[in-house]
Amino acid sequence: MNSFGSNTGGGGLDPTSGFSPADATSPRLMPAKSRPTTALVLDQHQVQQHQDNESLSSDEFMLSSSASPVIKDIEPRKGITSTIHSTKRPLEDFPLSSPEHPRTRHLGSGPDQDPNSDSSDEADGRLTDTDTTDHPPSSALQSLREIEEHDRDDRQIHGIETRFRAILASDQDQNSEAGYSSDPHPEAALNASQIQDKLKVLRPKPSNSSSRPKSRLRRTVSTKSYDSDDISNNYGGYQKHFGDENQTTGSWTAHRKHFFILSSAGKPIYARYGDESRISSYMGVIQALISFFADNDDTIRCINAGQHKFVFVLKTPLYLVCVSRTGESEVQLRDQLGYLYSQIISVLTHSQMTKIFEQRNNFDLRGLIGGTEIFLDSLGKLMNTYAGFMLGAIQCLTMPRALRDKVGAVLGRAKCKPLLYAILLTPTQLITLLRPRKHSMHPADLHLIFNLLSGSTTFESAESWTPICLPRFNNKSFLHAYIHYIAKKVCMVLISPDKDSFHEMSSVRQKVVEELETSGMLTSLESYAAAGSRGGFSVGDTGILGLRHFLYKSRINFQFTMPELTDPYACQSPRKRLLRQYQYMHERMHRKARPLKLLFHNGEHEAMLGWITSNFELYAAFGPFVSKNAVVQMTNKLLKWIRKQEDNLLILNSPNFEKFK
Amino acid sequence: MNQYVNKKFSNQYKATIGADFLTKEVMVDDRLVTMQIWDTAGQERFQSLGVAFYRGADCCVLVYDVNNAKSFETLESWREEFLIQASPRGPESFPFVVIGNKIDMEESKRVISQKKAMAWCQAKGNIPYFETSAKEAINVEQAFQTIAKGALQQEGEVEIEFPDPIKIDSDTSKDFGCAC
Repeated sequence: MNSFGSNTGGGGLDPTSGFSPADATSPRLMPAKSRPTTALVLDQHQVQQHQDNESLSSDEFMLSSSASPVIKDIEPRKGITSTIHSTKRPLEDFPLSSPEHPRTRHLGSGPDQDPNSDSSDEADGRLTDTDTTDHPPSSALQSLREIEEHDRDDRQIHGIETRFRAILASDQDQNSEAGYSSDPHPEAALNASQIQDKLKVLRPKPSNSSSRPKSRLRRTVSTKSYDSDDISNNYGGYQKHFGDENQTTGSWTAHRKHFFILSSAGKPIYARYGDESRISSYMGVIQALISFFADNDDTIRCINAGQHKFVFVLKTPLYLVCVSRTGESEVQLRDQLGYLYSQIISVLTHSQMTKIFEQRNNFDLRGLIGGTEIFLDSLGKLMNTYAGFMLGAIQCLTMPRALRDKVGAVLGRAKCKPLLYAILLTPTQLITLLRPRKHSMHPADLHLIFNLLSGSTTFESAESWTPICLPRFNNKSFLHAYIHYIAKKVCMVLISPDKDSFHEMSSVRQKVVEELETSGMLTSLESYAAAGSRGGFSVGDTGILGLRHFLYKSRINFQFTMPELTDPYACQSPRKRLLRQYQYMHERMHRKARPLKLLFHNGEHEAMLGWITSNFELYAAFGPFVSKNAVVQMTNKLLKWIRKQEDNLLILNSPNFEKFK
Repeated sequence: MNQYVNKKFSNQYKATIGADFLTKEVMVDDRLVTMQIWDTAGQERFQSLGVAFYRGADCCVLVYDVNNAKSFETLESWREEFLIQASPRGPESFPFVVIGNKIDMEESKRVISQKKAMAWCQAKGNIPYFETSAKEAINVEQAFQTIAKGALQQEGEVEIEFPDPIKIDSDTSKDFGCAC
């Protein structure tokens, strides 16, 4: 493999050295992965420096551009908030996000968040203004210098720029120094014969859940997402998908993206693939890497090694790590780890988890989150298929605004005292959300609710009542969610701070369902939900030939819409490729060092256009042979169509309970 | 170690960071537990893995070579070092295990007697002591059984209290307010 490998592998050590470290390393062959791993530590310094440089200049760019990175989209700052206040009447918007919440942490918070974002830019006119005044469509498109043409290779070239070659030489030195190859002086090995062992004992998941704070989500395994063939690791009824894999199986290493969650003592908590306890030696390596940097008051963030990215999110007492070769950016992977973290918080609350680890830093958390791994699994799966996480936005069900308003009014009139939020949704799309005027809901919290529904079919059969912590709302305590499907694919979620309000919530549901039924709205809802599960509308509806697909996000409402994934994106692999293309465009345009307002990318399979203004983000895919001019024209046409349909595609007037008092 | 975990792991990391990471499933009193064994190098030339590395350990095993006096003499400093770095709750009762290895060598080479080692262990709060030969698999299994049992003792219960409910109405000072 390389000289490093042969150095140790061919050493021919004295097996009598027993427990000495020299022996422990001798007789085994170096697995193929050793090179990148060795490169890690060397890479890191440079990567860190590189990032620091970037962050130095990022503020300037932020100020001169309305484009802001993902993090900002989901975590708006006061500047934005206040300006919107002054320019709009309160009830006209649907800002799902809460403004600065002193207690919540930023998902991917970095030191370089810009506190003085250009709020006036953010708050300028709506779409209508934007098209005509701020960004005159075609002329602006043509004249903007930011238009960049890329061929597919660009992505790789850029990747290489930011990657750093490892210098293996020093490792080899260390190796021979350590006497790993044939050692002429046995005494030297004797001196090295003292080792210190650290043991971490992990108990298997306890079968009784007496220590669990409450009976959490039922452990029924969804037959839909879990094949009975996949069973291998069966803890308390939880049958882990891919659970039979470990680092020695080819299928395990073949996965393009791994997630690992461990406690800051290095005990495994969750692995996306494989049995987390069987790959716990990797958790040790992760722990050692993190600790190595922590000792120098440094924080390891990301390692680039060849095609792989190793992204670390440290949320003591938890460490979250992603190892990916999907081409997603560090920021995107960091966000995804943040969502996994939020999922764990939603089960435990931040305060409870901190308290537990304060009492015992060697605590094995798996017992407490037991039964909820399917939601981590489904989150991992969703983040590979659903653009909402990348956009930090919620997808809305396409339906006539009039119907949406009427349904919202029914919910609004059913308000009872302990009801905090009333949400109607399909497993992936929002129908309507009623909220107190002062308490908006953050898209990241809504994503957790969506994940709850898509992660398990258990809610489809009965009325459910479950404690849930919505970290952006309040990470210290639980809210309680009443979940019931009132029609096929139409789910009602009623959220209350009062744990004893199940029956009140149930009667709210009854009242709402009766009214929706008698007015015939329930049937319409059901048919829109059915259509919505296919996509709601198709690109054909826009009447633009050559347009294949698009994502449109309203930056004011934190909502997005997209058409059905039809041919050529009808099956899984081109679909995934399209998402990766969107992710690439998104990353490129939100790059801190040089954000772009406009990007044209001519790829092998499709031509992509990205366009970001203060009001919206648009990412559109066209056929690969469409000219830039044609793309520009089609994009303008598309924006016109969206503006016309916006009322039905998005929820522009967020209703709140006070309206119905 | 190798003897115990039987080549299930790789040593690829030691060259860089000075530690091996192994996983072993073991039955302790009819209970299957997974042991994470982190073997850090004793040599000073390996850089410190840092305080965070030791935190949360359940048991600490000190291994010396019965044929090497110096390796025995440094046990004390290793023990102290560990207690400082890991700062476990109740350091007096934290489980240690001492292993004298390489008893397969000729008797004439042996420099640390069993008596001497056991006396030290007793003085340090009755640390369990084993003499092993990794080469000939003498006592290895037994030593790890004791290690696993010791580690399991560290697994205490935690108090889990349900957090206080959120009081929405009294929340007026908090600006959850929407941006509208």
